[in-house]
Amino acid sequence: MRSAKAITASSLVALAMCWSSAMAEVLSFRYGVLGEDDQNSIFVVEKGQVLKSGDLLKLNFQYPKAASFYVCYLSSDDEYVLIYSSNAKSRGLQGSGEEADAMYETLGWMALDNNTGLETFILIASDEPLDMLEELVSNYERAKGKSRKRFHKRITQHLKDLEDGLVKVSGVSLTQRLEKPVIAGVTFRGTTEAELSENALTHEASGQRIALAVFEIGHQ
Amino acid sequence: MFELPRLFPAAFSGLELKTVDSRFKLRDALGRGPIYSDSLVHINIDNYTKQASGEGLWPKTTYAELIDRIAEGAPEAVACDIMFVEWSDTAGNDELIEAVINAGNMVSPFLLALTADSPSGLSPSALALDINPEIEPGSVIHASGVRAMPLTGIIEQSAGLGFVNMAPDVDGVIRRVPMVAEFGGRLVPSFFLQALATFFDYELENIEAVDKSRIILKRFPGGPDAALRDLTVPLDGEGNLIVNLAGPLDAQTYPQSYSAWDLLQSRSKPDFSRKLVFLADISAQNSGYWDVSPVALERAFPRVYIWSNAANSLLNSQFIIPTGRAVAMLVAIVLCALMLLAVLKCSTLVFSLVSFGSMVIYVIIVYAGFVYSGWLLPLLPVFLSLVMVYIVTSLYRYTQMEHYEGILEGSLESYLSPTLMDRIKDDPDLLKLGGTRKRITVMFSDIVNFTSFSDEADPQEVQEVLEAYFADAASIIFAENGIIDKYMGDGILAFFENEDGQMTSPERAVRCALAMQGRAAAMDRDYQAQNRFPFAIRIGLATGYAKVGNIGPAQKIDYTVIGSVVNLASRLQGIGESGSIIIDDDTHFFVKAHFRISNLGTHDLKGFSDPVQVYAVDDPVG
Repeated sequence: MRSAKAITASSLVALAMCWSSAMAEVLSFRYGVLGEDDQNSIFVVEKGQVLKSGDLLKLNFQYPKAASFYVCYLSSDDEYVLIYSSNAKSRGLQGSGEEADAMYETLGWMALDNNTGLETFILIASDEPLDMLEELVSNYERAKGKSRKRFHKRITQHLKDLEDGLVKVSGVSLTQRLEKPVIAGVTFRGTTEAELSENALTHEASGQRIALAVFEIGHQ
Repeated sequence: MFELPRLFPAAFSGLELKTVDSRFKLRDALGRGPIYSDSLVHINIDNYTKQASGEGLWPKTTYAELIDRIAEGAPEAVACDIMFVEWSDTAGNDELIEAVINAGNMVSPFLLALTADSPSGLSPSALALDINPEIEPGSVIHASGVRAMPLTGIIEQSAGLGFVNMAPDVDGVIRRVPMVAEFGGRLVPSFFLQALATFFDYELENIEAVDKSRIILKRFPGGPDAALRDLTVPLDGEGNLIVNLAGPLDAQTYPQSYSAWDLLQSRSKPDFSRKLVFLADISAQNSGYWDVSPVALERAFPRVYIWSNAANSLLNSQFIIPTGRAVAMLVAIVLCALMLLAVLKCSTLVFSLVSFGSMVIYVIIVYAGFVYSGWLLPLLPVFLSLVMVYIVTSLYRYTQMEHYEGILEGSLESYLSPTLMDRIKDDPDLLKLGGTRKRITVMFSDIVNFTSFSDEADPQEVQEVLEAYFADAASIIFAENGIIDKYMGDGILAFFENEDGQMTSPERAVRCALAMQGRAAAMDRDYQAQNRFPFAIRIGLATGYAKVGNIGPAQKIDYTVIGSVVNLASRLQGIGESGSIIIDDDTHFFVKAHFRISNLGTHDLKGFSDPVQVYAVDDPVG
């Protein structure tokens, strides 16, 4: 009887340790993609929404200060650009803010060019720097011709691995991922301009030691 | 039979491979080799380049300069068969990598560890091969690791990487190259396949490795019209492509081969548009690094041309097609069955013709199939099967013939002397009907008073006496190479032919007659000692022309003599006393020097119009 109690207590302690460890490794970030129409009204751009050339677009995000954060952009003409890296914050930021434990950034208003197709933003927060991704994109920018195509393929594969949780960070296989709308202060299309801030964060993504969100926009 | 090559693999493989080489040479001599694609260009760092540059060992900056010059020609892809590995001297690395970046389409080589005992610990990601398609282990050649690889910067900046492992045959000759390998669950193309993939912007995902006997390149833009089609590439069963050599290394076969030095020195901009450029060091200095190997057509052939020939096969869709053992066995079984049918149903001549014809036909099929269709049929296993079947069936046929011959010989031996048997064996035409006219000596012998003896004696005793006498007489006649024509009651008709154009028959006949008389005297002594009866014989000999041969009806063999000389011998025997040997004038003429002879004068003989001069042989002279 005494030993059964001991086992139960031990199990509970172990469970609690695992839970606290898992909770400690959960990483999340918030982001928001906003658009501005012809009447200068701001609206939340939803995933898969179709925009026109010339439409303005704004990407906001907030991530833990301890984490590394990246925004990789795959243009409609199939070119990769690392438009934001927390390791090199110099990529045309319009504004940033710092809270006690979080970093807020926005890429400012961008006008969609005339290249139509699918515009994809991949937002990644990681508790460790993603050197491989940075190196691949760096080499990609240098490469020419068919070597460049190979790098494109490698970046695609690497991002897919990140998304699939196949890449191991510090030996931990990443499988947990969660993406959800932000409940508090959420404003969606149809709300008034006064209710929607251009710095709004509309979604949250989380994962175990790494969090990733893919945001696609149709461009006509 | 098909397992013989497995029992003696080295001996059979070596021989078989030599026959493969001979097929290549025959095809080349007939001008039936594949045309080398004009999409393939070679820039060779040759002896001339090395001498002209004045640098035996080039700095990497020179290689970088050369790559830049090639890139100026805007080729679709550059397959660089030179591995720039990491080592202590890093000078020029940056320039080299920069040249690779600028080229933007360079395919670089690396070496896989294809044996299980040499894993390198590297994973496909170390060579950025983790973007290659996944493949089930076991379906293609397995690699356990990486044996050698280029600089990290080159790995990173190359448009593709292909392994340069080759598979020499047991005699060290390169006839085949691996097509793809599986490394860490990823499909890795060999150097030439990656070069073509880069050349065509062909996605490796379109490669379907069915098994080690074939691989399908889906939607591959090869072939004469470069149209997209599923190209099935036949392999050797071990995952290797048999290299379909366009020909030996000469400018006529490989017209777009240029010296690197000329390119470096040229001031004009080269034009390599829509070309796949192979860059390699083929100088004698580099041959020590295994960049030259023997191939089917040459003892020393730059390996880069082996790769380009393999690429050429895919570009032209012209392959060497190894046929499976099943096909070869089927052909062998059909031809062997034909031979067995022939041995059972046909004459020796037809059987031999069918057997040799089968072998010749198979050899023709093998060579013609290779020359005209690229079929690589196994030669020795099938050929040896046919030879073995021929030997076995011949032995069977021979033993059968011996068996029948034995029966025939046993029958004939009762009538024919061993000499005649031997002559008939040597010349069966002797048994043809008709016979030939020749000069012979005929002997007639008869037992004196045999009629009264046979009337009085017990038939069993008569038989025993005759058997004993005939047996001894036959031995004596055969000993002098005589031929017993027939036994006639108690008489014997025998004759002696001349040998080698010499007139020997009279002397041998007389010697034979004397021996028979001696034997008859001995028998007489024996019988008289037993108080039985007197035994004596008379012998007549005559020499002259007669017809000798198989005379009579076709259904019966009768090797006999016809002529008056037979009649004369009979008559001479008839006039003799007990124990006498009576000879005619012709016989006397030839033997008078060797025997003591008594002249008995002339006698009138029945059947002869004129008196006949006769003699009696007493005994040999001396």
